[in-house]
Amino acid sequence: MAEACHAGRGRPTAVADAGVALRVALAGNPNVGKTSLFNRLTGSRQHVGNWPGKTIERRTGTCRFVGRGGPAEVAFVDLPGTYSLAASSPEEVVAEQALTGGEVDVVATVLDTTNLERNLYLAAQVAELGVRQVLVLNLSDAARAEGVRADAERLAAAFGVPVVRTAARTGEGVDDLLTVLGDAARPTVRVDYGSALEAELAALETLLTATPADPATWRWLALKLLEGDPTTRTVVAGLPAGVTVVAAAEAAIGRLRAVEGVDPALLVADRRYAWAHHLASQVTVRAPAGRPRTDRLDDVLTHPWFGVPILLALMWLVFTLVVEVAAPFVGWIEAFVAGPLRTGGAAVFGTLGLGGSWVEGLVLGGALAGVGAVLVFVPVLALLYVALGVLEDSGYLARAAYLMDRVMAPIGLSGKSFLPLLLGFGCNVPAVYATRVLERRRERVLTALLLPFVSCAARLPVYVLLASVFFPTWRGTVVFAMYVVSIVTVLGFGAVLDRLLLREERGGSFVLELPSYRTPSPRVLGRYVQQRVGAFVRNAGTVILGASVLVWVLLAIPVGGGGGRFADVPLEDSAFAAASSVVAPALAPAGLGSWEMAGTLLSGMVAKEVVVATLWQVHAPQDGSDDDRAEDAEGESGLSGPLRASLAASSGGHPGPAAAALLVFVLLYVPCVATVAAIRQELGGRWAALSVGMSLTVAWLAATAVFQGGRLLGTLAGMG
Amino acid sequence: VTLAEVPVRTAVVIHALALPPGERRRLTELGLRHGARIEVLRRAPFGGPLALRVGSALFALRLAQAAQVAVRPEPGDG
Repeated sequence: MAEACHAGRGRPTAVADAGVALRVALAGNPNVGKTSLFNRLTGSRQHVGNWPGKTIERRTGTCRFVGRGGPAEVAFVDLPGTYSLAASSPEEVVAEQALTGGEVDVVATVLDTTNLERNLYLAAQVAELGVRQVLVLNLSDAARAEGVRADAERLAAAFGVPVVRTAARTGEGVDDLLTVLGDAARPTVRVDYGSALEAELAALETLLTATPADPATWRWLALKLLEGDPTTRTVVAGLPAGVTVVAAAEAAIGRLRAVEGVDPALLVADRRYAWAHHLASQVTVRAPAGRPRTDRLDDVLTHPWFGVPILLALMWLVFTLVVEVAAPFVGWIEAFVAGPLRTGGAAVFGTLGLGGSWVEGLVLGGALAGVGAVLVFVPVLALLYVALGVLEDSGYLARAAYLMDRVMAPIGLSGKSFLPLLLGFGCNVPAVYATRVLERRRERVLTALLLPFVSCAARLPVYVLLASVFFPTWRGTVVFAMYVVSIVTVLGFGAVLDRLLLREERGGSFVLELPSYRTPSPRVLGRYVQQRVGAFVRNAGTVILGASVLVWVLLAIPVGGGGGRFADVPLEDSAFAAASSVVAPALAPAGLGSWEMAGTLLSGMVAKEVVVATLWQVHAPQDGSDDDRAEDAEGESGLSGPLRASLAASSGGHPGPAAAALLVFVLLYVPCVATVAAIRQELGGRWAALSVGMSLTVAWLAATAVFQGGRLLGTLAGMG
Repeated sequence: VTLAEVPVRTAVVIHALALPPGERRRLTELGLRHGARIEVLRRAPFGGPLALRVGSALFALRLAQAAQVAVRPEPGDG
């Protein structure tokens, strides 16, 4: 009967909010298949955004469902996976606010059938909220495989709400869930917290009768007050007659501490867990089985000796997959944009009589180049998301985090940050998106802010060129040193950021769940890849396109006495050169105070690949044909002479130290607009601005130190 | 004995958690609470986290935290 829902898939219809008959939130622990279930329920009719003011993903969607009352629109929101509603992490705050804010009619609490005890802890908390609820025994396929049976009837009787069995991976039971949503009820379950706590709770509930708070929430409010939750305290204190309740709660906390010897918050958690433990043992039957498959796989994959080599081999595989497999697609896209698309565009402009005009230049040279710059990332990102999705959904990612945790702990990160940082050596852009796998916001922020210092592959050609020209004998060593500097900066700066940023979210216990291994579902994976890549094109794509057009315009505007026309200016007379001259003095302490160097670095902010090209343009514009460039970038350079002369001029006669400073600057400053756009998309504009400011500052300081130090050493050596 | 010292593939019972209230509560919510039976499955290399079985779930816990958890042998184990 829920077939209508499935039929609606693939042709999303705009749904007015007014048409929504029921608003349902999916709550549950991490790794219980909540998102798979959400995908099953909503199909393509979903929207991924962020929770207001938070960098936590908010997934909403609708489903058209023909129930007893005729067709109806059901709206779903997928809450962040949490173990509790204790408001001790941003995810928990979001989940709790969504459930208590009155935006939801029914909560479907999704449970892992194979692991009821811990899951019932959260279900009990949701029940205490006083919201209409249904329980979903998900992963019932995995439970069958493991010989675990859960008694749905007994569970339903205990909670006083409907219970359905589902297997989101196969779609089993999803229609039953839709049917049962209409029968959702306020839970009748009551956790017994022991006589001392219950007496205090009863007293507080009596006091709450004098306030306008909804009776269904009294027990929840009383519990939260006894737990000392500051938000609840503020909310209740704001109610008429609420101040009395808060004062009574404070006194009760003191009494309970004296009687029980521990914090009431702990007592509540402990009693609730004991209750969940007891209920789970009553409703679950576990057939005696051999060692679970997960254990046998872990014997190999998390082996004390082989675990890390296997991890590195898998990472290499991901790396290769993302870079190598994407390469031909990237090539095709580049060829298509530069070839047919450009020729076609030129033909269109020709027909319109605009051939050779500045409009054509703007569209083909600025906008089209920008579109190309966005599109080349698509195959890379699609493959990255496939790899990430498989690693995460299979359960392996948690093992990788377990193995690498020791390495990341000194900089305030956990093992999970290892993967994004490693990917950063390929390209910072997908690496920023890979920070999504980190559960805690603090870790996402710290990792994303460190990523720009990870030397991506696009910086390598710059190192090779500069090292070949200025340090030919030490070429290899210099390039290697750049990677050492990169790693040292990440570790050193990581330790600094760990002490400075988001200190209130620092520490906390690192407890990492190692979920059972499961075969990833291609369906969930496909949707994940599609959503992520779509979001990149929409969000980051706009920024990259804008930057590309901006640079084109700056290059096109004639400034000064050269006498060029718009879109037909020698480089040194363009607004770009003028802007570079303005920036140049700031780079003088690093020995890079010329418009050529400033311009090179400015254009490098668009993409590091551009640095080598700009060095050519500004130093050897007369014979910079593409063939020469490709050849000469390798080393035997026609660029060598002009570049030496240019750096000697910009540094007051110290080209060597200036070249070293340039290398360091290129390594450390803003990687590219695409990375900044990615950070902005993931964390918001303020973090992106901080990232830009930080990397410019660090690059300037380091480059200045290198130049001044190098110059001093040179002088000393000259004297001796 | 603290949890950090427990040999691999040994089941123990949590006796006391000497952690700050916030962290203790977090562990309690995951089932790492007074009286719970847990099993140390593995140790990560270079002093990395411990892999534990708590109920039917697996968790990784850092050694620094494990050192704050007092345990005793499982009853019947001697």
